[in-house]
Amino acid sequence: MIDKARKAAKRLSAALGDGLIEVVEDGRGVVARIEPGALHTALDALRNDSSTPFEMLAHETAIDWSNWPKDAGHAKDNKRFSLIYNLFSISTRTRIFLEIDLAEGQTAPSATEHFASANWAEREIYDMFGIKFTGHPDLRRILMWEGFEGHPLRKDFPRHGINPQDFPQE
Amino acid sequence: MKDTNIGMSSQVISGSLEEAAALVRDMKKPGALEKFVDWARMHSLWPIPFSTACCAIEFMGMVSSQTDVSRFGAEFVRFTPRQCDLMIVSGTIVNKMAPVLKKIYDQMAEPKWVISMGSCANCGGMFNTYSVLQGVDRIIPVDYYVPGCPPRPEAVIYAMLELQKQIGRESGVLSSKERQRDFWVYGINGRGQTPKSRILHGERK
Repeated sequence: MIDKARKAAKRLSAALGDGLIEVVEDGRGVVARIEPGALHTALDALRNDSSTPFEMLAHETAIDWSNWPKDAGHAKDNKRFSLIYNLFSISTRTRIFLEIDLAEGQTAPSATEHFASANWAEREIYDMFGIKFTGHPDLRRILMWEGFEGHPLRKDFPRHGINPQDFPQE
Repeated sequence: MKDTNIGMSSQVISGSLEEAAALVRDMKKPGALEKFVDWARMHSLWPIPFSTACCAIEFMGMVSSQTDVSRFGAEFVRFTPRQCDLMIVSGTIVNKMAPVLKKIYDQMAEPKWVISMGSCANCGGMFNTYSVLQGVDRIIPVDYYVPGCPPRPEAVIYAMLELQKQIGRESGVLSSKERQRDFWVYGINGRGQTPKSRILHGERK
């Protein structure tokens, strides 16, 4: 399976050109790190790939690197967040990961026009990390209520919330 | 209520006909009607479960055959608040759920009592975070707190028996507001306050 993912990453790098930063392999498998602007091209290329079409966006999530040392991992270049796209090819049982790095306040392109399952995932990322997506049809909070202050999975969010005992308005 | 084995027992101890007959015989004495009302109430509690987490499983154990709560006159679990007078909050209440809990409590008919079952309902338990209500007593008044994570069914039955004793001492009060008037400040969307003193209603002056 990982061979198919490696080959798919090669075809992806041909399609993206400069948009691709690097292809790495770690415990997850094949991970392609790309520029935010190349996301639409990458998702389109992977979804309509000739031999391993990645039909499903299994998961989309984010990481806040802000409590990491400045020179380590993804925290360098002042990129605070990483978005991770977990794509799965049902027909060939192959998995590939996309990663894009975002600075504080930077908006990300929405994956909803390629995968409907990105809708709620991106709402959750917006709710928990405060990352905004351009092109999302309905970017509201999904777990916390409207009017909740702060984004809980940011590393600088206080454990008890900004306004403890703040309840949703009826 | 005498000492009883509240674990495995087939003994039915809820209000007996003899007790009722004695109450009716003394009906001309002052305060007898209130006593009768208390007696009737304490042996016909109608619980509503507000079950949101694993304590609900213990609650199911409590109402089913092994530790049968109906022996103590609280047998019909109803799922509409309008038919109930005892709310058993069993489980974690998140802040998003808090207005729902308050609304359901408000919909219950007077007089009404609340048992907070388990650590989460008592004080937030292990979930000391932004999203979890740190104790249901911040939004509704609680009569009995049952510790445990989750508490055994016998513990909740014990709380219910204690509650029955308390109802027996209440001299026919009409509403829970009447009972809780001077030491209870609670609310939602205001800052919820824990009570200054957790005096049991019957012992209040």
